[in-house]
Amino acid sequence: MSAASNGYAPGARKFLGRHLRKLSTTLPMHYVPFSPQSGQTPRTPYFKSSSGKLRRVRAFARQRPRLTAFLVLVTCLFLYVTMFMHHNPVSNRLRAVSGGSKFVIILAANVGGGVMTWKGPAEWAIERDSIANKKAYAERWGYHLEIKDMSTKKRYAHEWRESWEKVDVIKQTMRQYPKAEWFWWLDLNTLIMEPSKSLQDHIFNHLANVTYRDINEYNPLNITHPPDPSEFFFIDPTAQSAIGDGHPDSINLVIPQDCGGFNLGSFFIKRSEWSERLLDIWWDPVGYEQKHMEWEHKEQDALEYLYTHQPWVRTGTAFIPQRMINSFPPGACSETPNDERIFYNEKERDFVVNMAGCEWGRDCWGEMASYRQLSEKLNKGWWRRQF
Amino acid sequence: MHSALPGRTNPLFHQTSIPRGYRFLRKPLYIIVTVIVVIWMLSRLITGDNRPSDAPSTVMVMVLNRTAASSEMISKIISNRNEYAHEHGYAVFMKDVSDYPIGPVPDGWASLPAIRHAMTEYPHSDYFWYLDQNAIIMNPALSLKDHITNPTRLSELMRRDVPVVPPDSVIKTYKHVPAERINFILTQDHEGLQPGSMIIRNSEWAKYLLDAWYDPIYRFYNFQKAEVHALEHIVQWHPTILTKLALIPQKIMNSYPAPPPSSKDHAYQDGEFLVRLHRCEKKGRSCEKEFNKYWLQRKVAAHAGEQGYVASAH
Repeated sequence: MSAASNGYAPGARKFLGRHLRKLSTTLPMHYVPFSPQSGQTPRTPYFKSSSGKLRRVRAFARQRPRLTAFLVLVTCLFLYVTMFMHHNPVSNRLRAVSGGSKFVIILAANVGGGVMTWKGPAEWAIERDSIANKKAYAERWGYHLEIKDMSTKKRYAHEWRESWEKVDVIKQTMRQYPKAEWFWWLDLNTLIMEPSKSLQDHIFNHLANVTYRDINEYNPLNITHPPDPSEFFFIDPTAQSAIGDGHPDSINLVIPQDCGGFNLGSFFIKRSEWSERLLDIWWDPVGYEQKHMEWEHKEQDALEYLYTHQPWVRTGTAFIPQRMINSFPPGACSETPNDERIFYNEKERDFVVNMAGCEWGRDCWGEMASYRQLSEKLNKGWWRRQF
Repeated sequence: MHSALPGRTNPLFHQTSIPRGYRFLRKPLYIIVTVIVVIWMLSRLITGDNRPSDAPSTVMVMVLNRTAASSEMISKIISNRNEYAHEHGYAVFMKDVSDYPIGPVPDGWASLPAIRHAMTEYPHSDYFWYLDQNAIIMNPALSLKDHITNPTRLSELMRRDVPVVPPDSVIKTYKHVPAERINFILTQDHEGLQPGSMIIRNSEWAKYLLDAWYDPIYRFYNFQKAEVHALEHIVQWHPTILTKLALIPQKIMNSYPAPPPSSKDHAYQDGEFLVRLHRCEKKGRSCEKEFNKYWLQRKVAAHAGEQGYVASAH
C-alpha cells in the first residue's frame, strides 16, 4: 500500500511525523543514564559545545537540581522585572519598539507668543515645567513627543487664519511620523499627574469600554443625537444610530467634554482616511467668513458645528469622560462648581490636569506649581519612581 | 531507579497497540490544522459582505419638480429613465423636491439628500447616477459601465491637469490619480462644474462629500449658483475631495442642445448618450418645446416593448 493511498501526502507525513518524533526524542529531559543504548552509542549532545565551564555547570545542575531550578527562576524574574517593569533606558526602548512608538504627544508651546507679547518669568517657568513633565512621560513609555511652536506668526498669505493652526499642526505631525497611529494633543497648561499609567493601559487597550459614542450620556451642548430624523431621515443606518457602528475600530477621534461642550485641550486623533477628511474640512474659508465672530473658541466651535451638521463626523467620534484625560482645577467651569465629572480628584488619582482658562484672571504658574508638587507627593519614594 | 513511565521504545506502547479508531490521536497536528481551517472558513462565511445577488450595480437618482413641467412631460421623463434602467438592469430611485427639507433654497440642493437617501436604500449598489429632470437619454444602448465607469475606459476619459473652474482656476485636477481611486465623476461646461449629470460611487467618502456639500453653511450662503458654486468651492479648497474627482469630456454624459447658448463644441450630435436642456427655463427658450424635439429623435431601447419592468419609485 502506498503512503498516499492512506490519506496522507507522503511528503507531509515524512516531514511532520518524523520531525515531531525527532523533536521529542532529543529533548534532554528523558535522559536515562543506565539505559543500555546510551551506554553503547553516545547520543548526539543537545549542545555541541562541551567546554569545561559548561560541563561544570551541567554537572552542578545534575547534582543540585532543585537549587538550579530556583536559581533559574530567580534569574528569569530579575530579567523580567528589569526589562518590563523597571524603567531604565533599555526597558524604555523595548516599550517604544513594542507599541509605544505608535503614540505621538503633540505639545502646543508658546501659544500666542512671539510678536504679540513678551514672555515673563512665570510663562517661562510654566513652559519649562510642562515640557519636562511630558518629556519624562514620553521617555518612560517610549512615546514620541513633538513640541510645536504656536507663536503668532505671519504664516499664511491670508492672514485671517491666525490662531487656527491646531489643524495644520496635527496634519504636519502626522506627516512627520508616518508610522504612528494615535496623536495626543496637549495644551501647554496641562500636567500629567500619574506618569506610571501608560496610554495603552489607561485607554487604548480597552477603548470601547472607556469611551462613549452616544453624546446623550453627557450633553452640555444639548446636541440632538442621533441626528434629527425629520431633517436627516435619508442618511444611512450607521449614521442614524446613536452609537455609530459600535465597533472600537471606527473610533478616530476621542474628545472629552467639559461644562461648556467639547474640549480640545487634551484629545486624541487617529491616523485614518476619516481623520484626513476631518482635518481637511475643519477649516473652510466660507465657514470662517460667516462664523469667526461667533466661534470664539475657533477650532473647538468649528468641530462642534461639524459634529452637529454633518452626520458622517458622528460615525467616527467617541467621547471620553473628562477626568480620564483632562481634569479641571477648581477655578475652571465656575458655572458648575460641584460637578464631580469635571474636577480633579486626588483620591482617585486622575491622570491629567488641565489648567484651562487660567490665563483669564487666574494664576497659571501658581496652579501649575501646586499640581506639580501634588503629583510629586503622590508619586514620591524611591520605589515608586522606579516603576 | 525507575522512571514513572516506560520509555518510548517499550513494546507495550508500540504503535500497533493503539486501536485503529484512535490513530488520529497520534497525529494531533493534522487535527489542529483541520480545525483551524474549518473555523477560518466558517468565519469567512459569517462575516461575508452579505451582498444579495440581485442588488443592482447602478442606481439612477432623479428628483422631480412636478410644478415646473407639464404632467405629460414628466411622464415622458419617467418612462425615458425607466426604459434605460430596464435595458441595463439598473434601479431607478425617484423622489420629489418637496420630499427633502432643504429650506428656502433653490431646488438643485435636493439632489444631495436624494443621492444619500438612494445609498441608504440600495447599500449594495456601486454607482449612483444623478441626472437632472430636463434631460433625455438619447442612446439607451450605451451602458454606464462600458461608456464611463469601467476603469480602463475612465482612465482614457479623465481630463488630467485641467483647471477645475475654466478658464483659469489655479486649482487643477490631479495628473496621476488612477481611475480605480475615482469616486466622483462629472463634467464641466465653459462656465464651471456641472453636477446636473454626475456619478458618485458608494463609499464612506461619498457620505463625507454629500454631508459636507449639503452643510447649511454653504446652503444658506447665497452662492450665486447655489449648489454648483458650493461644489466648486469645496473642490477647490479641500484636497480630500479633489483627489477623488474625475472630470470627463462634457459630451460623454452632458451634451447641450443645439444651437447652444454660446459655444458649439458641446452641442448634441446624433448617437451621443444624452442631451441635457441646460437652462431651458430661461427667457426665449421653452423646455417643453426643446424636450419634444429631442424626444422624437431619441433611439428607443431594444427591450422597451417587453413586459415586466416596474418603475421602482419609493
